[in-house]
Amino acid sequence: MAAEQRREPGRSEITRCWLLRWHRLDLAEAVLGEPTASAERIGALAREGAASLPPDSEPTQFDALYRRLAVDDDATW
Amino acid sequence: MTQLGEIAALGLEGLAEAIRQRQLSSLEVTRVAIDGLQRHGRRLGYVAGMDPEQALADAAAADRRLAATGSVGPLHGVPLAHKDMFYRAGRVSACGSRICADQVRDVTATVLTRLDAAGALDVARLNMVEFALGTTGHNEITGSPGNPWNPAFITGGSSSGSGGAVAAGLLPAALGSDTGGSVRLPATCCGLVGLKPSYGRVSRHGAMVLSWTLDHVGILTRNVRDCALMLQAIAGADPADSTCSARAVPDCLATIEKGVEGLRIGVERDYFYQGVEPAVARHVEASLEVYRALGAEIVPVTMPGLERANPLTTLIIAVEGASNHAVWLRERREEYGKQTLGRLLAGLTYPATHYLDALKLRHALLQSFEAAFQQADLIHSPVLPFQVPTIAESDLAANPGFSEYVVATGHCTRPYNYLGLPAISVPAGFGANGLPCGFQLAGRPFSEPQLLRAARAFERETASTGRLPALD
Repeated sequence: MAAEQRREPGRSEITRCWLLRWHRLDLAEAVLGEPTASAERIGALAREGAASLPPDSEPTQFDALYRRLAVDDDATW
Repeated sequence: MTQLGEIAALGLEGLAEAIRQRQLSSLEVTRVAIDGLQRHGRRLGYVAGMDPEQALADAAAADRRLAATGSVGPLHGVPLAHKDMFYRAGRVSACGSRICADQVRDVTATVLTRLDAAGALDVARLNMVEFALGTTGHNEITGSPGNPWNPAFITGGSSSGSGGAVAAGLLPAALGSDTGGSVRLPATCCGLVGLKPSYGRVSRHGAMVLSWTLDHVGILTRNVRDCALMLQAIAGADPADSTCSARAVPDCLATIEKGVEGLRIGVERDYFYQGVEPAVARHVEASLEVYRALGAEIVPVTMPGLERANPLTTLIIAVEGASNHAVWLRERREEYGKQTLGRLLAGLTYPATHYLDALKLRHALLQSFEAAFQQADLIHSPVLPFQVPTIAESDLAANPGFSEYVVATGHCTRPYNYLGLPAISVPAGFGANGLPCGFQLAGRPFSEPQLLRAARAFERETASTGRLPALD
């Protein structure tokens, strides 16, 4: 088997298989196009960014900071 | 007979006052609005639907109510219309789509209920990008609206009909939605004031959901005071929307004329000016000089990590959008436009961990803003990084490069959706192509009074708003 065929399946391929289970070859073809390529680039950014976060990070930390940053009702500059 | 231009010149505040003082009747004003929407709004692609007979009946009823009670709401009898994604029970909201073209809704959006309570009339449904997934205004299903300053150019999107109709003077104000810039981009393309309030400031109950993390209800008007008036009418707690804040709504109009003496305006150049066309940058820089002359201090700020916000916004919209559309993606796929389908399908390809990473990273970026807000009260930037393009040159559908183009148009607007911070697009004149250009101000959560005050100071000094395009 050629090396190209032995490699781990990428996300696009997994998605394609999943779409094929719906019998939607047309969708599978569409999803292997530009949107998927873009999604893979962006997904990599998310992964790399998150690698810099402490391991106990969670999305709700954002909400607490958002509330703390809110202006006072009588604030001026 | 009252003319469209005369009514448009009054703006929302002036029109409401003229009706209240009985200098104009709601019926005559609504007749002019309906006629304008029929003659110009349909031709330019702004109207998704309207019922003229019902609108005129509502206007006549408003006049009778004013005569009978003498005490009415702040927007009594003023004809408005909104992006076709704010539901009204018993009425269709098509959301710019083929899929919902005949979908009669069974709830009324809280923002519409509040505008009803303020006395405003709801006279039409305005065109939009299919399911609000687009920044230019193109819609291959319903058609792509033309900019009232030159119909060959885009209105910006996704609140395309709202932007076009208000800029054309057909209506004094309209609601839109802003998930990545969809109010601020049409505002800058059409020469309007466009406000995306803080996340939680305005209820989203009964509005179409694209991305619950990023969606905001926003406002498009021809001047800053009208924007404040609209915000007062729609903002505030709503038990029907658990994400809506219980914070009291301050009186934005009470402080709006106080000027900018002592205001610290932060300018971040590493990200916000990256790839900005020189012609746009000149306008934006000129607006900073106006603020400096008015007594504001211009402060350089840095915000590490800002470059992540735009692509991660793409990720969140795609994943949440795909989740919302999952059933239709399976069962009615062929009814979507090509670009909409491509963007939603991309959402199916992200692992859940990447989506959660994108949500967790919001905290880190907000920390960068926290540091910037130690030095500055507001952040100033461009809105659209390039001059308004033509419909033809930006019609990428699902062709190669469309993802990058969407990301490029939202370069300056999307960070504020990602973080939920309030931001306002302010008109700043016209470019060499004859199309409007604007700048953006953003602030801390719930700083709408400060944003409106700063925007108003610029408007008062430069008379940058109020011009109307010739429609014939």
